Amino acid sequence: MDSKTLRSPISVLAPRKPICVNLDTTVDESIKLMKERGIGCVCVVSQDKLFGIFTERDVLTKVIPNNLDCSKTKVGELMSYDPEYLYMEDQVAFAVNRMHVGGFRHIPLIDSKENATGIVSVRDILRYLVKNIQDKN
Amino acid sequence: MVHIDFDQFDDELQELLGIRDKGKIALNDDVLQVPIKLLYLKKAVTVKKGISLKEAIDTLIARNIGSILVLDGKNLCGILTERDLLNKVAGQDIDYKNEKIETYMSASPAMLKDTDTVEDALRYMDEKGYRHIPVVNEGGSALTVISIKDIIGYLVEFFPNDVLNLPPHPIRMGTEERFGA
Repeated sequence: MDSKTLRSPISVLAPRKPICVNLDTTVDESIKLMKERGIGCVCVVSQDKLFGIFTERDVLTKVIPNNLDCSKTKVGELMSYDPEYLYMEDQVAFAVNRMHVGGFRHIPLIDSKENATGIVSVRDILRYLVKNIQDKN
Repeated sequence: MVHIDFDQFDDELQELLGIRDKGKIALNDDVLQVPIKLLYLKKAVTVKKGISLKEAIDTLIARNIGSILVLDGKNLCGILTERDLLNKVAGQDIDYKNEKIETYMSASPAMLKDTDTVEDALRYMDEKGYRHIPVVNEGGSALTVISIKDIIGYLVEFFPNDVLNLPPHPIRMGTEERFGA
């Protein structure tokens, strides 16, 4: 692992496709999806365009303490609006920066049409850094 | 979060890794063989067995953390994470005030000693899918937690110019800045 590792484009991480829900998907359905897929967040889109992100942290801070009726609440009302996003071509360093300095656990990726095309997690970043460290041996 | 102050960079760590000039180095496997105790981990937030689920949730929110350790006397008996709450609590009709934390925590969690290495922590995180692992010192007291973010922090602090001193936005050729989300 050296500077080049961090200056590579995010595409080298082979980011997964995001699991997306619509603005009017219920919180219940969104939570069900996260549990079924074993994931910590879903991207909230409208006609494929990224509008927000709904994460485990949102579940902890907005859903659980308020005793919401999750079957009647729309995810668009609780999501984190206008999340930090990056493009596939941006450097890995920017994703690391957002996570290390900004404290984010997931960064959505978009394309030039603003469509949500991928998601990068702290786990993806850690695997990539460690692989590059071990390849040096 | 791990923070390494390079102006007072631990002599022990520096000598161990043979670091002379941070930022121009290539990290090899040695960096993973460092004992966890040389990473500056924060003291863990702990609560006692028997407290209500509501108190546990309030603590996670107030302290802005993703996990808390649960103690039975002086011994660690569980960990409650955001994932536990997503899987076992969210969307359920639960009376948080009258439920005990031990019903919802992950009991007898895997633990590391602070003499174990970063690589040991990585193995647990990778094989078992953990994001947070409790760490004890040799005496079995002084609890900390090591997280995926802590290890990323530890690694990237070797490259401050590449990660910490970035412009606010990436420079993109032929891409118009977008508005809204």
